[in-house]
Amino acid sequence: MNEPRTGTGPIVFPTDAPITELAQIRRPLSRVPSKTAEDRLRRAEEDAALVAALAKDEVGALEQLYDRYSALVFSVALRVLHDHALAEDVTQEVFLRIWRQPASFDPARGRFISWISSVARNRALDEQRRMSRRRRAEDQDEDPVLRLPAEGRGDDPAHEAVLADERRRVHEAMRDLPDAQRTVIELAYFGGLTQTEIAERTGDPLGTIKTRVRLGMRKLREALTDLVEQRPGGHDDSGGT
Amino acid sequence: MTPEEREALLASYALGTLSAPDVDDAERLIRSDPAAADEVARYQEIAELMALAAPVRRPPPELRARVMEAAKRSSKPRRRWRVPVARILPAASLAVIAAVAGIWAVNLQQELDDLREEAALLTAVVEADARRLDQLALAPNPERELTLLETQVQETQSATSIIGDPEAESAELVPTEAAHGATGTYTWSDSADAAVVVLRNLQPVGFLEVYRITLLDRWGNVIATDSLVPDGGSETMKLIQTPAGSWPQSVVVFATNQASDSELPDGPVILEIYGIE
Repeated sequence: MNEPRTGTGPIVFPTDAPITELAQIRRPLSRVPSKTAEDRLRRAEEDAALVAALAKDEVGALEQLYDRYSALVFSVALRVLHDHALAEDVTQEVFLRIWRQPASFDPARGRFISWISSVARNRALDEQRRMSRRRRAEDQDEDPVLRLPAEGRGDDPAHEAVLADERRRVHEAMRDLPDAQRTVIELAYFGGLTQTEIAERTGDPLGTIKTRVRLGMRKLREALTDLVEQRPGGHDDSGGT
Repeated sequence: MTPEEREALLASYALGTLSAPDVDDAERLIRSDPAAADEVARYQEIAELMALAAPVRRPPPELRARVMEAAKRSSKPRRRWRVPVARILPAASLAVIAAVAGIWAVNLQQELDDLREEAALLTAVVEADARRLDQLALAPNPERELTLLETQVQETQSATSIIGDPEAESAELVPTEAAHGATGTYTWSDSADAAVVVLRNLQPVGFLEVYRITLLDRWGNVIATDSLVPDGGSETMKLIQTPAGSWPQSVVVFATNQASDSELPDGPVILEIYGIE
């Protein structure tokens, strides 16, 4: 599965290739500047403008944000809850919250995509606990990381392309982690479990779990650092992007 | 703490996978060490990307229409239901009129009760501001006091909007034997991600003592906490921010030592409520 990376030069990705095909292409993650960095920044600015328009009760802005992020919100909610109806409820709640309280997103503190992901995850975890529907990760009948996005495109194709690039990068980074490290990070993020709970679930010593989280997060940081440096308010101590 | 232990603590904190005691350790480290705060911020940015690892699934098309319809309905929220008496009267029979009038009267009474309760809470807020203005006039360092006052005014505005939020949930706190006449009201707004706690008739606290208010989720995990010292008035208001997506289910007010960083009671509980639904 993890074939060795070869070459150091940039690889040109065919922009019209299906997402599943793009995901098969491997490249040295930290050496190639993303071709869509400018797109990401522009999209982030557009997102901030759309959120600002919500304050003026512009339903059109909500429609655009929904078209851009409903799949992400729904996917996160479904990944956490494993229940379509509940995931729909969470998706509706998240977008209604944005509509009612647009000021709760502060563009100076990061990108909208990060914020809405966090809201969706927290809301879904809260719902999961409330409904006592937590399921064991090993009960899942598929590998959530290896199964790559395969469904139809969203209602905002240009934005979807930018999102697909980020998604592919995250998938690659997660796939490159050793299984044990990937599992604890997934259980923590999507399962909302503490390290102690993860240790109880996996049967591994707590110290081992802590080490896996540390090493896994460090590798993800190394692999994805250019993504976060491109965001408004993101760290950039590399002298620029 | 070794560098590896430190990194593990901060990375785990960013991922949100620490249990309560470890969270305390991490937050203590973050408060005391700017480099640690910076490192956590970097890891949090990575953690936020994890949402993109979820397999892509699109919501059903009809959900879009549902969300937009709900948004349009909520753009002009109705504060309270009012019976359209003018339309009903001409068309209704006497019996229907009587029934409607009865319903209307009940609703009117409920509305009046709600408004009285709301007015009482807002009065507490205004009185607190008035006391702060008095303090400003007597302050030895007016500029600092003015900055504090501006912050408090912002809090007051937020508190006012939460108390006035028709969808906010409200509950009376239950006094314990240690309350000695103290009472309190808790109001939480999901949309504002904040709670307003109004405490009345608090007993004065001793030197270096405070009252701490802690909000917990249904499993007893601490969601948010804040402390206050009674300012001499009969009512004291506290605005407490809650993390996005959290849902407070219990509130505990207890007396504690100022030096204590315990979020859970290590002194007498004076007011409490559990299982808010």
